[in-house]
Amino acid sequence: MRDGGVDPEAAEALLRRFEPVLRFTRGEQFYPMDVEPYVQACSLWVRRNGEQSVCILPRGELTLDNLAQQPRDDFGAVHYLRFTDPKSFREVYSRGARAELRRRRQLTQENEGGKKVFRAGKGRLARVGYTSRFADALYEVALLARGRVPGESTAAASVAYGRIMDEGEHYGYHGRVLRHNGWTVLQYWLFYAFNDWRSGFFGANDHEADWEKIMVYLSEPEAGEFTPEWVAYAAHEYTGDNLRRRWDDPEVEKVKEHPVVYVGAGSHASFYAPGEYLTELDIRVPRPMSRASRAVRGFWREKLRQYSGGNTGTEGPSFFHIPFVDYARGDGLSVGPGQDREWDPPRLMQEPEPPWVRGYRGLWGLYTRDPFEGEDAPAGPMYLRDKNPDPAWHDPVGWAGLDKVPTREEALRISSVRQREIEARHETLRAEIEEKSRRLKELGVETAALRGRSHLDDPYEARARELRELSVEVARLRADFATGESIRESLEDHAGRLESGDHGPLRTHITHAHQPASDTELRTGRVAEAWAALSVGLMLISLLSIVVLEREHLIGVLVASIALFAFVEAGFRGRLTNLIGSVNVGLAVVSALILAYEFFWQAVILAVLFIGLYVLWDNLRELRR
Amino acid sequence: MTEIDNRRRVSAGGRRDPVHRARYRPVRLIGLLLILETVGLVGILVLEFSQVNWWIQVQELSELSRQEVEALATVLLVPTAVLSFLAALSLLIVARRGWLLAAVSQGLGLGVCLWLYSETEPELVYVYPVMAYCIFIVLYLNSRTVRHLFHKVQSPPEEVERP
Repeated sequence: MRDGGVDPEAAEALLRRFEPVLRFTRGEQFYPMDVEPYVQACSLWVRRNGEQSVCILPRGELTLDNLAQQPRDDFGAVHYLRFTDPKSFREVYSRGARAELRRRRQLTQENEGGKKVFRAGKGRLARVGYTSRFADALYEVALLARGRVPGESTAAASVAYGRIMDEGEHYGYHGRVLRHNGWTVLQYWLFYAFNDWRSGFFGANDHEADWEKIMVYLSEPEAGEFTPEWVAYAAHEYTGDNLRRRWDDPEVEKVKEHPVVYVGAGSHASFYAPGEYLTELDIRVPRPMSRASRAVRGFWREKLRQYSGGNTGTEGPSFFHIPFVDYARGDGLSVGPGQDREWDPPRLMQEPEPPWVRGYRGLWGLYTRDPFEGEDAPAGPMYLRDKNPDPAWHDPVGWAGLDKVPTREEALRISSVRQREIEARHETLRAEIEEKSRRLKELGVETAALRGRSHLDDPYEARARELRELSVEVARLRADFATGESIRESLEDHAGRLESGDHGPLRTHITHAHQPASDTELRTGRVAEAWAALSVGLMLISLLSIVVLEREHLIGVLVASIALFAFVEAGFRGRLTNLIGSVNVGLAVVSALILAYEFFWQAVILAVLFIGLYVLWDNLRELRR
Repeated sequence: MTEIDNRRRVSAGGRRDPVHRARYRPVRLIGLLLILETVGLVGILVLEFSQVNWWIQVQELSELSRQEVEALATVLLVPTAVLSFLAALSLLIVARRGWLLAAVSQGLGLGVCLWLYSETEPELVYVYPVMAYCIFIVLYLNSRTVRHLFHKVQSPPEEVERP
């Protein structure tokens, strides 16, 4: 099958056949929409290096057609849309706007069947340790200095989105079908007017505009029906094997042929199962430190055979995780075939790509100049924020790590070709082994005949050397043959299983599945949550107080207070055993260093004595046999 | 369910095969090591107890002298010895919660030794062997074999039912 597009009619039929069902969380304010009304409600801006932003097209003049017709600009210039108008922020506090917001919330509540709005449940901080809480505090402080979406933006965006929905309540996606690397890929690009994860759901960021994607991978037999084999749901910036699930995986919930997606509140990240997901932003330590730490862990675990908390030591250490919770409960509005709201016909993005997809490389919402980019709006489906091509668009198969997985038909074909290749190679090998074995025997006879005849020393040596070399070579050829035979048998067996519909284990490709928090984790009490919220601040204040007020017994009081905090923390998190283990190991290391310092030469003498006695015992044991 | 719990279930049914016995050898070994430690600590305690003039110590607590340190060491080593003994009994007889008790006793022992070292260096010679012994037991308690015996592991259910 050649790579490329699919004709629009067939594409639309395929997209509609497998279009996803999206289950939102209560309190969600923004739903997937068509880009056209959004763009019409936006103004277009450009920010050039060292200059103030300039409005190129004001609100009301922008359309999907003229969005792509922007002249090329200088290096470093950033084009972006503005959905919320700074002038309207004052209006957000007006009586009329407040009434409008109340009406919107009421409408959302009605949409969700009159259920109560979002409640956060167990706090994110109660799910992680001190270091992560410190990192989180630093992140919050940094947010004051970084560029970010203004606080009034969510309300303003909600009002603007409400106006669009008042003109006609529509729920839409943007679809693309392409043949790529042996697969037929259905891409569902979901566009949201605003991401209010931070302001609405205690998440990492807010930004105008949000592009999310769901992909379904079909195999296409020579003459037959398209068969769905894999799905991949986008969540944050994750890529690779962990994103995708096999179509028959029980984790992939389906309504008829429609995969069900649980959407993270505000973040719009997609998940396979309902629940609350702890999403951790990793802060990596410098490489030399990471290498040293890995070496120490490896020594501790492998050489000393010590327990290290289930860490295999293969992963690089990341001491700081900033925790955020993705609430993908699925208890809100449901959009999709046969659900609370139905999809509109999709807006197709088939080849040749529409100009607004290919031609506009700018951002789809406010450009805040956030160095971490979390608060900047995303670029369109085809590009990344830095204007480079988005792998999810250009290489959807590789994006989900499917580039090493062939379709069933392709796997059968590859298997059959490989078997034939191995058989052909075996023919050659067999002849070669036969020939060389015969020569080996000849050499054996000759060396036996020449042995002990002093006048034939040189020919004897030459033949003996050839005999040794040939013997090694024949052994290698026989090993090659046996390995090839095993591979061929395995291929044959694999092909047989594929033909009988057995695709093998479902989840071997997944190294780190994103799992929702368990019931036990969610059952932690209010006291633990309050402790998690207060502990970092309290600890800093108490440490400072000790340093200022208790200088006389500084070390002792500091150690006691840290121990107290650690003990309470471990108690709340059910990790007392680990704490005791770690404290013991720490004390043991300090004690060992003291012993090494006090008795270094005695230890060396003892070690030598021990080795000597061991060698003696081992040799005597051998003598007795 | 921990492997120790599995062991109890198997024991309850009166089925103790050699494989299980071999697997739980470390538990018995820790128990014996702790008994040995208790005996050693009791010996040290008796020695210290006989050397301290308790009446003077109670009257003059303003500054820590050698005698006072020895008195405090006696007081502090008592819980270590008691906990070690209880942990040993727990491991040898009931085999439950033994790890935690043993770990607490060793932590306490090391803590007392470090404090004694900082206060009396290097007068109390028995501090060093106790320290070395505690280090050995801490490392053994923290070894993967022992931790896996006491903490939750994924053992197949048939292993419990195997005669």
